[in-house]
Amino acid sequence: MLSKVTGYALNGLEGFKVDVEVDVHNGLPVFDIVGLPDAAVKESRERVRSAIKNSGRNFPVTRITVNLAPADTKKEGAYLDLAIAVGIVRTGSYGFPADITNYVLLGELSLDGSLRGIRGILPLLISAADSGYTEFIIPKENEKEASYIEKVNVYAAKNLNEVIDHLKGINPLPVVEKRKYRQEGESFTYPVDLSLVKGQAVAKRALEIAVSGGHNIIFIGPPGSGKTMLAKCIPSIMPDMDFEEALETTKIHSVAGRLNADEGIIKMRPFMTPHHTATNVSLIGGSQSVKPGLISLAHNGVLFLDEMPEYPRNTLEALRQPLEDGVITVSRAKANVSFPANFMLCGSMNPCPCGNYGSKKHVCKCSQAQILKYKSKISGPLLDRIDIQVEVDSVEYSELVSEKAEESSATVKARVNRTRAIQRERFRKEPNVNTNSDMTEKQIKKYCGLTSECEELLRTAFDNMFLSARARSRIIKVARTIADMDLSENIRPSHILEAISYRSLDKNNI
Amino acid sequence: MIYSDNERAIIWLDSFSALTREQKLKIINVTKNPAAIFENPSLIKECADEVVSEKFCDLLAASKDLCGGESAVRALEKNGVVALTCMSDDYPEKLLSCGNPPLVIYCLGNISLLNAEKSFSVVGSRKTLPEICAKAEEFSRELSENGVVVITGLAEGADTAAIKGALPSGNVISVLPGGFKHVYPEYHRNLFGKIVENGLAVSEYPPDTVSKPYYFPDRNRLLAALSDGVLVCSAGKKSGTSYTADFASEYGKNVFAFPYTLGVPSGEGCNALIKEYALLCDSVEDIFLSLGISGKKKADSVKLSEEEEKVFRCIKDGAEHIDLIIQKTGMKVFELSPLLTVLEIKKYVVKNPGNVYSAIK
Repeated sequence: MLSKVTGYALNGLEGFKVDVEVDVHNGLPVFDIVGLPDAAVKESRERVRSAIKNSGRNFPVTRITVNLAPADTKKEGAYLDLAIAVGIVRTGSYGFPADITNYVLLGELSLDGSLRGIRGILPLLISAADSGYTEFIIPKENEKEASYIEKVNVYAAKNLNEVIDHLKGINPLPVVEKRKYRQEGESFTYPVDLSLVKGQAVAKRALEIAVSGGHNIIFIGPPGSGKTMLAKCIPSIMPDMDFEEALETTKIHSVAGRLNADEGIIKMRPFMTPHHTATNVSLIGGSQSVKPGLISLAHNGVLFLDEMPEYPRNTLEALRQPLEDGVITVSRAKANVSFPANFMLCGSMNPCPCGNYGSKKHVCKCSQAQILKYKSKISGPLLDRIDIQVEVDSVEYSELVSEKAEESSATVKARVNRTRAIQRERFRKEPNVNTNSDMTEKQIKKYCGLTSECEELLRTAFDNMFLSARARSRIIKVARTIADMDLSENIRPSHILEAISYRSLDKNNI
Repeated sequence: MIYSDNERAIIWLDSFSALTREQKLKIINVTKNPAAIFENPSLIKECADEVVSEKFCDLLAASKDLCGGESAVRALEKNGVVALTCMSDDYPEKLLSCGNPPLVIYCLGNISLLNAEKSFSVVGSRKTLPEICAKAEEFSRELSENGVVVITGLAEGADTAAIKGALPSGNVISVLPGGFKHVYPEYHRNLFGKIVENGLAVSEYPPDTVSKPYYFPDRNRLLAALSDGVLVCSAGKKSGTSYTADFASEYGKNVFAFPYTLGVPSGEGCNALIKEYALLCDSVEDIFLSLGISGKKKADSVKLSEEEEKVFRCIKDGAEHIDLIIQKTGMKVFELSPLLTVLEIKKYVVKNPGNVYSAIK
């Protein structure tokens, strides 16, 4: 007796259809799964056998062959447990409809027959819906995640018996209720708020410019000066994600198995802080099963690299291409997968290895060679992609306790939204350019015309402050953003001057 | 450069790094006419005594380069290095003022600077505060523009600042504690190139010599001997810069030092020098006066706008941190940042790490 069921498996961020064919025929009792299953799929034999038995059903004591088509693609994970179990039950049970392949069955089985949640429900459902499937049965645990996808009927089941009863039409499950992405009057509360950061007027201003123009930023300051705190505030002043962005980010987190089941969708911009001992693979993505790395998890959010020079050189260099393209393609022998990785990079570093360089109160114990070596760990090409370099100073005690009201994140966010709108309007006809930081040399010429006064000013600044030549276009881009924040159509000298002040790493001695 | 036979002999002798200065001097004194060694190598053996061991004499006598010091001279010429020996006509007289003048000084660049009428050392420690560096640069510029040759080392901090100030006019000499092929510090190779192009680099070591820590005091002796006076911009408690000052005062030259407030680590040495013998220097005119020239300080051509003036006053009054400036002026940070950059460009203030600004006018 042959039975066919439809399942789905993951390849990167895309799901692909798996036809689960179960044949039960005479012979010695053997249970075989063919069609390139990985260890987790192979082990599903034991889970399926126990789950069927413990659900009070018969497990056929004959020869069972399960084929997972297409046979030449490797299937990973435990998504197919439910499909296999239903396929087996159907061979020895009456009351099923003649064809149940219009249902996509997803779920991992527990030994007692209950269904466990799986990672990657969202991309699986989106892929299946795109290929025309409308009926889905998924574990109850993943219910919320599935509720944001429109035009499909999703049924959430607690255990195998519920699924079988539903398919037989004995006790149909209710369709999972659809939810709206943005509820009325909903407001996010981020764990940190800009109003909690005392003082640091320069750093805050730089932060606002960076977020407004989509510029990458690096904080330079002694230990304990609040660099991390400032960085953590970035998501709270970034514009809210729209549904498309949220869905994309959720997809990645879902595949990585890092989605909070209670939320179902990620509404707040992610903030990722890898430790500097993080391996290349964990950061970029990869490993055997080609999983997204931290830079993809930071998609549409912030990647914060604390103590940037402590990261291995090759790890930092690996960031260059995704910083440029917003996408990372992970190539392995088994698979070749692209993950989106459009993040804002925020770094922090000390002015020197001991952290006291230039301080009037403390003595710096580092030699110039050590300082140069420390700074040179962030290579020129990488530094080229960081438009704003700002110094953070150690906060005086009196400022920490001062009651002076600081601006809240919401106020800053409103201004950021306004500046972003100006940029959207300007780059309407330019593909791939959303913010000032995305501009190419050509576009800088087109949109950032400088008056002769500004040109003159730039020249004097370069002569007198020993700026490196590569700083020029960075300065102009940042000046453009400052002008936008100022609601000024043209870049004025004061904008250029302010932009120059955010190039502290560029000032070379001679 | 054409060398006489005696000069060649001294260059040849100086290329033996195993011999000390005293030993070389002994050989020169004994032979009277060092070129005679080329004629008659056995002459060296006569020098053998308790200063120069017999082993060394045999070694020298066996030197392949004995026929006129050809290869030693060629090695210099290949790198464009000019050697001035104590028997050369244009050996700078100033050097004779120090107790132990070098046998040979190796020069790379504009050699006429050595015979300049007035020369002055501007030196300081590696960890000089940015505002002091700015001052050193300013002083060095004033001096060099008035025809005074600025003499300094090649380290970062005050030395680099002095070089920066003097480079445009070309009146700069950098004295190195090692051979030209091993510039120390390595990351100042570019700067070294600029000095060779515009000014002069001097060393008492053959080009192949790798610099060693104990070469530095010897170098400082040379610095002090070459100059008519020394300005110590900064010096820590145990700073090599104090050696330069000590040598200079020993040779009877004026020593100036910048005064510092209490508790600045990079200024403790300066204050100690002032306590002992150094002259307090807070204006470049002090130096002009001691050199006996009427240096003209260029009038400040750049004018400050009203707002710039206001911010500059604030900084001058001690409100150095940007948050304090904001508090005092009542400006917003985005109004203040451009003004501070202007002041920086106009060289009225320097920026220290940590958003602290210091007035330098």
